[in-house]
Amino acid sequence: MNRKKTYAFAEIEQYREYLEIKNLRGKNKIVTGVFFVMSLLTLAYTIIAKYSWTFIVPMTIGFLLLLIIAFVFSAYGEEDYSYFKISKYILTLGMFTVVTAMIIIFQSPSLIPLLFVVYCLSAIYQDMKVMIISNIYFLFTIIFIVVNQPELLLAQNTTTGSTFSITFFSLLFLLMLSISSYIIMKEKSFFYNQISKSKEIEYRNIDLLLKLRHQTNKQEKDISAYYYQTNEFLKAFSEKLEIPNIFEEKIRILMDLENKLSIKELLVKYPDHNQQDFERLSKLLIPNQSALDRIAVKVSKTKSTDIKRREIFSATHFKSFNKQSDTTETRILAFVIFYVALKKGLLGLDKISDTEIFNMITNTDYYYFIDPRVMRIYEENAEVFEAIISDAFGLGAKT
Amino acid sequence: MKEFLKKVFNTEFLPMSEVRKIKLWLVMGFLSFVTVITIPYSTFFDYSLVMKIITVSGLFLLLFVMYILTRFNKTLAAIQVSIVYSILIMLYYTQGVSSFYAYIFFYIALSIIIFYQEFFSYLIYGTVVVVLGVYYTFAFREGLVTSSDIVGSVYIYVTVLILFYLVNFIHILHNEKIYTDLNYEWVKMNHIIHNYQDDILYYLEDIRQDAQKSPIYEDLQFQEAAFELSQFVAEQIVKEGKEITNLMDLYIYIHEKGVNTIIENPEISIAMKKTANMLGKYLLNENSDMFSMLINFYIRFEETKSYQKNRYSYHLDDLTSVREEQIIAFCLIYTYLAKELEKNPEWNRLEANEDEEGDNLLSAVELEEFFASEVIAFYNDNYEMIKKYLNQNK
Repeated sequence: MNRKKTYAFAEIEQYREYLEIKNLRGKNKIVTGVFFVMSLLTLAYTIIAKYSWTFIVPMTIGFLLLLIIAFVFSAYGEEDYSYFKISKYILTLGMFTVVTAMIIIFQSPSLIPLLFVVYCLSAIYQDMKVMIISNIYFLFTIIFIVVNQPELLLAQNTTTGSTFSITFFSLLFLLMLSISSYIIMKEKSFFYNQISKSKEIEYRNIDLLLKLRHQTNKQEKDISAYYYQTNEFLKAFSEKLEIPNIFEEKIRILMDLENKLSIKELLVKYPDHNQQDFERLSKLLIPNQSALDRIAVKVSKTKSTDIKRREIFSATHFKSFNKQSDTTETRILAFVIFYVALKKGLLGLDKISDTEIFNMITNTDYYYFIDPRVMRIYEENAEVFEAIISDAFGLGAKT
Repeated sequence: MKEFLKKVFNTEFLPMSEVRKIKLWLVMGFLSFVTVITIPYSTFFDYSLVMKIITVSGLFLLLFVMYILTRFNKTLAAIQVSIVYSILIMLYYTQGVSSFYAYIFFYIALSIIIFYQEFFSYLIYGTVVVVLGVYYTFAFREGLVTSSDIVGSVYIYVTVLILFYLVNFIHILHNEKIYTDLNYEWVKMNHIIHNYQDDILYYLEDIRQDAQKSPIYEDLQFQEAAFELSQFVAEQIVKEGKEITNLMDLYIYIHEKGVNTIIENPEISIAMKKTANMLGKYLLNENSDMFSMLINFYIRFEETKSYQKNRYSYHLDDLTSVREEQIIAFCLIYTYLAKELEKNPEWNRLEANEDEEGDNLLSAVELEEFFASEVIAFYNDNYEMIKKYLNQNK
C-alpha cells in the first residue's frame, strides 16, 4: 500500500523526458556562462595579486579544458541529447574539482564558500544524480579540509571549538541546500508531469470525443461537400495565379479513397502515383477518427481558448477531491460520488472492473487527489465499500 | 510524521499551495533545530546573559507565532516570518562572534530565502543579507582571515558571497520563466480539454436520452449507495453522519435546481448558498471538475494506439511534407470549422459579437502549432478568397 505511486498514463514518460531535455539546453548555457565568469575572476585575481605565470598558466588550462568540454558536449547535444546529460555530470564534477584544487593550492578559507557557489550552480540542473554527486563531493572536500588541513580553518582571532563548529554549520548548510534542491526538483517534476499528463489526456479525450460522435451518429455525413468546396476554391486560386491546377488530381484521389477504392485500382487509375502517395494521402481523409479529423477537432477547440494572465497562477486548475477550500464533509462527498459513479458506470462508456477501479485509485496519482483520511478509510475498508455498493445496487453479497 | 515524510517524497504529485506548506514546515523544523543548538552556542557569544536569554526566548516566541500562522492557514505570512527569523538568527550569530562559522549563517539565511523560490522575497531579503554580509566581512575580518592568508582574502569573501547571491538570483529568474511558461501551457491544455469534455458531455447526454434512462444522480441505487458510503466514511472522520446526509440532500437538490437558481434565491441562507457554490464543482450534470475527473479516469481504460514520437503533434507536417497536399488539408480543416460554425449558430453569434473579426475562423488559433509557414502565408495572402469559397455560411 505504501509503495511509490505511478502516473495513470504510462505514455507520459517519453514526453516528460522531452521536456527535461528541452530545458536542459538553457540550463547548460547558464552553468557554463557562470563558470566562465568565475574563470575570468580567478584569472584577474591571480594577475592582480602578481602570482607567477607558472602558477597562472596551468590553472587557466584547467578552466579552459572544462569550458571546452562543456562547449563541445553542448554542440554535440544538438545532434544527440545524451551529450547534454553527460555534459551536466562532467561540469558538476569538473567545477567541484577545480574549486577543491583552488582551496588546496591557495590555502585560504576564503575560497571554501566557492563550494557553496558551485553547489548552487549545479543545483540549476535540478537533477537527482547531479545532487548526489554534489553532496558527496561537498562532504568529501569538507572532511578532507578538516582532517588534512585543519590549520586552514584557524583564523587570526579564533574561537574555541571553531573547527568543529565550521564543520557542523557547513553540514547544516549542506542539509538546507539539499532539502531545497530536492523540493525544487520535485516542483519542476510537478509541471513536467502535469503537462505530459495533459497531452495524453488530450489525445485520449479526442479519441473518446470522436468515438462518441460516431456512436451518436453526429459525424459529418456530407463528406463530398468538403472536397467539392476545396476543389472549387483551389481551381479559382490556380486561375487567379494563372498556374496549372496541381490540386485537382490529388482531390480526386482523396475522393476515390473516400469511396474505398483499393490501392491496386488506384495504381491503375493514377499511374503517375505510387503506393506511398496513396498511403500518405489517406491520412488526409476527413472521416471519423482520421489523422486530419483529429487536427481539425484540435484546431476547433483551441480556437475558443482565451487565457487571462491571472489564471496562470490560479490553483483552481488542479482538479482534486482534496481542495483546501472545501470542508471535510465536502471532500468526503466528492470522493464518494466519484467512487459510486465509477461503480455505477456512465451510460455510453465501457464499464471498468472493480479491481481496475481499486488499483487505479490506490496505486496511481489519483491517490493524491483524495483527502488522506478518506483514502486511508477506503484502503482499510475496501471490502466494506464493496459490500455497501453491492447492497445498494442489489447485487447480493460479494466475496 | 510518517504522513508528512510521505508527502515530502511525493511532492511532485502535489499542487503549489501544498508544496509551499511543506517547504514552510521543513524550514520551521530546520530553524527549530538551529534555535535549540543556539542555546549551548550562546556561551561563546559576546552578549550579556540577560540579552542572551531575551534573544533566545524571543526566537522561540517567533517560532510559536510561525506555528500558529501555519495552523490557521496563513502560509504566506508564516513564510515571511520564517525569512525574518532566519535573518534574526543570522544577526544573533554574526554580531555575537567573529568566526567563519558565524559567516556561514549568511549563506544559510540566503539558502532559506532561496528555498521559497519567490522573486521579490529574494530580491528584498536576499539583498539585505548580502549587504549585511559585506559589512560583516569588513568589520569582523580578524575572525575570517588566517595568519598566512592570501592577498586580498577579504575581497574574495565578499566576491564569493555576491557570486552566490547572483547565481541564485539567476536560478530563481530562470525557474520563474520556466514555471510561467509551463503554467501557461498547462492552463491552456486544461482549457482545451475542458472544450473537448463539453462535447463529450453533450454526446453522453444524447446517448442517455436515446436510451430513455434517468440521469445517474436520479438513480435510486446510486443515491442509496452514495448516502450509505458517505455516512460510513463521515462517521469515522467527523464522528457524525447527520451533516453529510444533509449535504448529500443538498447535492442532489442542486442537480435539479442548478447552482445559480439557489444562489439567486433570496429565501435561501448565505451559508447554504456558500455550500451550494462549493458543491457546484462536483455536479454530475455539468462539465464540472467531477465530470472531468470521471472522464479522465475512464479514458485510461479506452483502447489507444501505442506511443509514437509524434503522438502529441498536431502539425500537418506530420501527415505530409508535400506543400500542395498541406494546402488541400488546410482547406479541408477550414471547411470543417466553417461547417461546425454553421451547426452552432448561437456560438457563431456570440463569437461575432465578442470578436470584431467574427468571420475570421482562425483569429484565435496559434497557426504555427498546426501549419507550416508557407501554408500560413498562403492563408494570409488569400484570406478573402478562402472566406468566399470555403466559409459559405457567411
